[in-house]
Amino acid sequence: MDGRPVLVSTEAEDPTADLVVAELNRRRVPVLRFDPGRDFPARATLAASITADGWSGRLTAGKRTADLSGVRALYHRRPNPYTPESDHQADRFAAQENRRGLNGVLGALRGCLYLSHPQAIARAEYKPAQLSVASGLGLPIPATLITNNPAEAEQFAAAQPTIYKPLHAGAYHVDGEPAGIWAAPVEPGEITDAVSVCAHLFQARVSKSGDVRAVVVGDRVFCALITAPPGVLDWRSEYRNLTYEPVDCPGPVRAALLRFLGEFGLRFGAFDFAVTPEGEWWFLECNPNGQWAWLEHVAGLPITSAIADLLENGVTE
Amino acid sequence: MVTASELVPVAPWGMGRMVPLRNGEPSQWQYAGLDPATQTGLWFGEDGTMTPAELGKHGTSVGTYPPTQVGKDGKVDGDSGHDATKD
Repeated sequence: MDGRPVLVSTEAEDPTADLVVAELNRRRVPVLRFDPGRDFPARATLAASITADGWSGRLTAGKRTADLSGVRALYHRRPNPYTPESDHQADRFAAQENRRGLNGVLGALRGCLYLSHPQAIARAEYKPAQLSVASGLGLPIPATLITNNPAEAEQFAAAQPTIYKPLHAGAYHVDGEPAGIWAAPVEPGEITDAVSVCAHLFQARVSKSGDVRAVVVGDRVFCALITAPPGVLDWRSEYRNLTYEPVDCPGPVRAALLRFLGEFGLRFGAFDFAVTPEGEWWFLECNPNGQWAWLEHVAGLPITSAIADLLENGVTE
Repeated sequence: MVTASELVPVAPWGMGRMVPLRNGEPSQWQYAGLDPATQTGLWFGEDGTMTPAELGKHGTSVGTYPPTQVGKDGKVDGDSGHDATKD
């Protein structure tokens, strides 16, 4: 039996990670779960040394210990960042040293399969990079303008039906309530000088009959057609009123998705497509660490098992 | 001279489109810590029973937050992880 552990790097309250850990438990794969940004150094201990064969030594969290030279895989889910406990210089120093030290060692384990490597995820979060790669792979993408020039924005919005969406979906609040910005139509008359305050992303609106979320795990592609009520542009705004249907991924799209992951060094991606009435799939964006558990449930896609397969098998070549 | 009002940043145009999410129900499950034996979370249901998150096995699915779902206590687990801003 393979006794090499899988490290699961995530916050404590993460039911999605629970599903994967439970599946690994069923398969008798040893798991060490921890949250580097929270557990270290109070509840976790690191002693790592470099050898000709790479990093060796031990990581201990709670009652479990992992031999760093024999880590099978690292599942990077929702770890807390290395945040200083205060603005004090000593806390900022410690946070940076933890990030470069612990995170640095965890990102440099030889023979470890990363799902996915945190730096690959960070790089792939950039929508401009995604659009460039997707278009280079032959996927249709909407005309896109990123600008801080109100006149350019107005001209773009006048040229075709246009939407605005933020380049990064952060956690914001309005009057203490969780808030966000849905992708939504823009009329040229709505553009004001406030566009000059920062970069803004405008995109041609794709005339669509539905949406697809394609979840890629290794070389397996799981797709669900998502149908929102009429007039809803951003399906995320209408969770309670969506229908789901598992669908096959067209061959050329599948090939492009696998190459997309390859370009960014990812082993997972949650892609959003707009599907036209003619059945053409338009690339909208990729969430390199996107959500999938709800889709497994509503569309019957065996994603937990596919993720556990990758983690259990580790590096195979 | 700098006045206090000049120190308030001008809101970008895109921020004017921000709205409360209100796109899901708060979870009926309450997190009660990690089980050291299984390394999975323990969740209290409305009826007081404690259970691990297992898809389709308990008639509900604490593990099925949609992206950008509002959790209890206003917690949001979106499509991007906490480290998406660090590179």
